[in-house]
Amino acid sequence: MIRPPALGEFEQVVLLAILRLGETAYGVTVRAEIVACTGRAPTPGALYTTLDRMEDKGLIQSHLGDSTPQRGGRAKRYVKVTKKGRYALIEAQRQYQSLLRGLDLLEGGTDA
Amino acid sequence: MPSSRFAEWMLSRFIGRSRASTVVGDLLETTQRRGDLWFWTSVASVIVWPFWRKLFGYIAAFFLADYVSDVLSHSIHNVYATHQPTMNIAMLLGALEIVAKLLWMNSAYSLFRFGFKDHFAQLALALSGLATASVYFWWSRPVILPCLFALTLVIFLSVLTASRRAALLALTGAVGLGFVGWYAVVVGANVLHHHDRDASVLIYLVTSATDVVIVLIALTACSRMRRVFSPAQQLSPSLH
Repeated sequence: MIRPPALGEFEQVVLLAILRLGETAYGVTVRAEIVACTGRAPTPGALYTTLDRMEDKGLIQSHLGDSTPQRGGRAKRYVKVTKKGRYALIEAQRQYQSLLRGLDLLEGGTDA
Repeated sequence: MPSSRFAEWMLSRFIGRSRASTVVGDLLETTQRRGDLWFWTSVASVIVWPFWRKLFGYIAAFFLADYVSDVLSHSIHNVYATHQPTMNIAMLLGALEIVAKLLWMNSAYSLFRFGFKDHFAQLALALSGLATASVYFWWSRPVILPCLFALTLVIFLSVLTASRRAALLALTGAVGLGFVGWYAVVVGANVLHHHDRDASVLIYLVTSATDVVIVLIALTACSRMRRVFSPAQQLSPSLH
């Protein structure tokens, strides 16, 4: 069985944001979704570099979409998670879950 | 509205025309809320982000090589005066000094670019230490013998697993190519020096450029060799 590629934390965040957005995922909405869900605003450099790298690794796919006057007539690059990306994300989350099992971190709040 | 055409042209030099166009479109869409300053800092971050490790790796390698070069040359000069090596040992030490500098360059560059967990970086660092200790203490048997033992051990451990074997081959190739490049550049600079003895400014420029060219050759060899022998480990571990 082929092992899925290992994912960094930010790659997982981006993949989850894309999955949450579905058909409407492109640079601006992905960034907004990350800000809304995590409170962290990634720099455009980090976001676009990660998107390009994940596309090169076959974790996401992109296609050009519509353009608007707001964008100076430039097309949007919509992205979606591939089967390989979904598999890698599931594996990464499974690893987190197995580490969390037996701990009451989420129930116990932030008390030490 | 910022000069988006210029931004797009600039970005397309780094990430390709199609991607540059969509990125500038995204930035323009957001700029209406955040302003021109945000637009230009974002353009800069998209350009710099993929390359910052490479850029800092080059800078660190250049300064470390310069520092090591000074320290080793000084040390060899002092040791020569007290221990007076034979011609053969002197030539061997001269070659080992260049190898040590090349190894330090590869260590600094690969640590920045690929991180400490990278096998190539670990191997380069271990061999840099051994080569430097050997140049310093070539006359002292209690130091040289453990160094030789450690070198044998490092090489033995490196051939045991495929990824470490690939790192060893890549590092050997990188140092070999770097050595040839170094020799060619130094010989070229000497030839120029002999032809143009009076043009001191030109000599100064050529000598300064020599250091930069040597670092560029050594690190290009490092990148190429890694790509040949360890294509699966091209991305930084922290970015996986």
